[in-house]
Amino acid sequence: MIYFDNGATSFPKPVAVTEAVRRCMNVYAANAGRGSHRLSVLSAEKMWEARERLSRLFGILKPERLVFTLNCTDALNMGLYGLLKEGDDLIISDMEHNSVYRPAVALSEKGVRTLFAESDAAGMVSLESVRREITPRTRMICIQHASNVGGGINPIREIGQMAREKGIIFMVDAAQTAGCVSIDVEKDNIDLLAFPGHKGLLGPQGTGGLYVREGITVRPMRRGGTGSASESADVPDFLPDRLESGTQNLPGIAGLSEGAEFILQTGTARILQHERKLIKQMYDRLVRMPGVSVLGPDDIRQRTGVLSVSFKEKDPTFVAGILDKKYGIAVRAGLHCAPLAAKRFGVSEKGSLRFSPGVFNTAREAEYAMDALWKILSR
Amino acid sequence: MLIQLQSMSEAVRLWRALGEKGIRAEVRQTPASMRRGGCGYSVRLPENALSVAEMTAQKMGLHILGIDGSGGG
Repeated sequence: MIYFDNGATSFPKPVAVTEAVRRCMNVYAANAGRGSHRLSVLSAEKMWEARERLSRLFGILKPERLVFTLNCTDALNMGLYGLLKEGDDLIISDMEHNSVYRPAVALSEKGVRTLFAESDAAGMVSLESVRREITPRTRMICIQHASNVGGGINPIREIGQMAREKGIIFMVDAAQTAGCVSIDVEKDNIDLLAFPGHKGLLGPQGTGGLYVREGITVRPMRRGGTGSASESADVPDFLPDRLESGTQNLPGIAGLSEGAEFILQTGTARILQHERKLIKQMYDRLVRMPGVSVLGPDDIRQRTGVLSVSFKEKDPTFVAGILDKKYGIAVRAGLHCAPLAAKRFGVSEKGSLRFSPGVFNTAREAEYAMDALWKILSR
Repeated sequence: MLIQLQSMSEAVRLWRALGEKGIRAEVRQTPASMRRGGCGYSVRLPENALSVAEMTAQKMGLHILGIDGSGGG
């Protein structure tokens, strides 16, 4: 199988990741923070090591400000529900994934108004488009770092700078960039960073994280045991415990830790360069195919590792099925859980077909995929 | 000596930091006699390492909840 669906979840994982999960399950998978026997301490140490590695990757100065979550959606929900209240305005873009769009819609029932920053034809959000939506009531700007449909990378540093100057909380959805595009929460002026562990960070599913800048207090969505301050009727007021009630996914976090280490050793710049090389190779073939429209920016330097196309006649779902069954190529078709982006690109009816190469894909695989697509479209 | 901290995370952090300084310490559950209720974690260390541990904890922004000279048994 040739796997080009890394935008959904990365596969395969580095050997060190699968080995770390196996070792955790076989050797020390006790409950971190729920005892002081040596396995519990080792578990807690492994969790802290994961926090440190991820913090190093994202320029986080205090690793305790990084909490583990189930995935990026969970992290985004924690940030949105944990900070917004009645009377607040929220700015998102008209390209956001359902992980932001759906909570925003649900929050409107609680009196939170959502304003949409308009993207350009390539599906990219400008500083100006965000600025236009700011009101005296704007509490938060929540923008995706890169689109999971168009692949364009948004100017988060500039948006973050503006948000900082205006005293607005800035949350970044790094679902498509964490692990393959450089992120520094200090330089990029990020207040909250939500990221998945199972995509670019190469960890197992069921992992993710949320960074919360010091000085910002997020209301917990869940309350329960933390192994600390147990005498209190409420969860502790300090991180990470405040936002990590219940037993954590230690085997997943052990794997994620090794995924982060792999990224640190390899370097995001090198990974992005590799993915862009494959994207360029596929892009150059796709733009020459009749009846095919490439979504997102034409300048590859503005892209992350996502390349979606729409077809004049073919149904993307049908094409994805043939690629899978006849050619052994895994891609994703449909709306990609991003109906706003589909609408922006005018593909709401049929959706699009997405190739999302990862760190382990090769130029030969990209060539084979493009040959296969050409044959399907020529029939 | 026992230094009581807010959580297991904090205890592990101090324990690791002391280990890097060559101080043999261990993470322990805070004894009932020392804690104010509920559960908690402490770092057990030699008495002559107390001042280094306190400074290290302070530098790391850790919250020391208490110090017990008995070593917690």
